[in-house]
Amino acid sequence: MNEEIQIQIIELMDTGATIESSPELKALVDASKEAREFYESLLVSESMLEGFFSGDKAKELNAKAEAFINEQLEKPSQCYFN
Amino acid sequence: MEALARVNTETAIKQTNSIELKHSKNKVCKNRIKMPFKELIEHISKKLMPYAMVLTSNDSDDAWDLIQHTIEKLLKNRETLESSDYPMAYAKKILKNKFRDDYRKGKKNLSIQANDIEITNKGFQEEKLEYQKMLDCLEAFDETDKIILAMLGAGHSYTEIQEVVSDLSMANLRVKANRARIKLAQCMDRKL
Repeated sequence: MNEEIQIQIIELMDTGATIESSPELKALVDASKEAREFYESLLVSESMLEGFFSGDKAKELNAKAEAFINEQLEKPSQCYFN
Repeated sequence: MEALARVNTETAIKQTNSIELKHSKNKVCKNRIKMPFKELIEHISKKLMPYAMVLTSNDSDDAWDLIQHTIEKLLKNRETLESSDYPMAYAKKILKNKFRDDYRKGKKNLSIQANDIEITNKGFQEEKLEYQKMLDCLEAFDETDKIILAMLGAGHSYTEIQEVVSDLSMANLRVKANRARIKLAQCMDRKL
């Protein structure tokens, strides 16, 4: 399967298309065994990326950073309140 | 005459104040008009969080150390940050230098098996192992690809990603992102 087809699959997925909702994506995925495998692997890898970088740990770190920034900025500032 | 003198004095004071204020804004807080300092710092820390997480391979304590150090440095060097044309690049450099220093000292970048929390629940264990496979795959990527994928995973837009990987045009960023996503899918496929 060439890169052009892989990119078409990605771009369709980026618009929110699924094989159930998009005949175009379904046609691409059903065109070959490799395309189907690629699509399934992509679903897994994208889900893993989202789960890891948007998951509880990421949320916890972002909240911690926000609290830390607030705490630090409560100290008198040199220019912010000029 | 007295009234006139008072008016002139008041005008003079107003002018002096406005000059000082303008000078203050331009010289001391250059980016203040665009984005207040607090928002700027929060904006930067959110954008750099995925990068810190990918650098430290799933160790939230180490990721927090990197972010905390970066925030402290940014607060300390507030003038430099606010007068910088590329505040994100400046912050990214601080974070990366901290990571390199720690890495040289040999205290960071250990794998999940070595230093993460105890794994007891089976479902949780499987999830952690899946994440570890993804992180193992990411190790083979160049730094820009890692940042792109991590930020996409964190839900950032391409415009936001471009701010962090500032040396890429939007067209090139999208091409690079698509190739990285293909490479990650293929790597995960081999590992599953």
